[in-house]
Amino acid sequence: MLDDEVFCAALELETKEKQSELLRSLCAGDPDQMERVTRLLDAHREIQCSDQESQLILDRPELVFQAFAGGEELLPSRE
Amino acid sequence: VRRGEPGANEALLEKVYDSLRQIAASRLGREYGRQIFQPTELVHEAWLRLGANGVAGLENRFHFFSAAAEAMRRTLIDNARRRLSGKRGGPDAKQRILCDADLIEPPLACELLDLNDAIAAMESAFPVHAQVVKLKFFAGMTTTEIAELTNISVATTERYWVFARAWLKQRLSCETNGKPF
Repeated sequence: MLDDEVFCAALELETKEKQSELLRSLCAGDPDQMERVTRLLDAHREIQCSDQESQLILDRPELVFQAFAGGEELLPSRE
Repeated sequence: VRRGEPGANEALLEKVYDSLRQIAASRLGREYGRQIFQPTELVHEAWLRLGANGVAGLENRFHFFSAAAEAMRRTLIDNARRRLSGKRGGPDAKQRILCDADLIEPPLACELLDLNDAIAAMESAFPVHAQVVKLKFFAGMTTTEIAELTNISVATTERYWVFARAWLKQRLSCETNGKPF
């Protein structure tokens, strides 16, 4: 199985322990893949924990567009 | 356009321009109750890039939105590079007037360039996932819109996105901490 398939299969399980158990089974004989997917699951958990106000640039496209779109700044609108 | 109908090329270019304006407007939009930027410059640059690659050669909506995302990406990256180069004493450094926004932009420019590198790395390992990221981030499309565009189910598209986010976060964390990926 590819990393993304193992990752998604693990996400179906509720607990970290069950996910680790599945990884041991699916990545048997491939410790590198097990380590890679474990790190991806950790990264996913971190994203979930900080989802209220994500610091990941991927989740802040508006900020990027505003900073690097060029164009002119407008005066505050009267709303 | 392919049938050579008179005015078709102009009509297509107009539609493309409108679509780019919609993408930019949805991304720039309004924040904190005020409109911050007009998207004109971004749209115009992206439009020129699209035009240079031949709008008439775009086969379908998927090709169009992929090309639009790519044009937006290149425009934003070039602007971020120019901004960084100015901060580091590049050719236009003296002409810029510093303001509050300048204090936060250098790290943001670095973050954007790192993200761009990470997406490029993802493209070689997971091209479909990278495409989903580009359509979402640079073309402002929703998961449902991407699913319709790519003929992939919404659930699968969402799985691609969740995996891509984790992969990119992991990659960007490694770059920040200087660890091997």
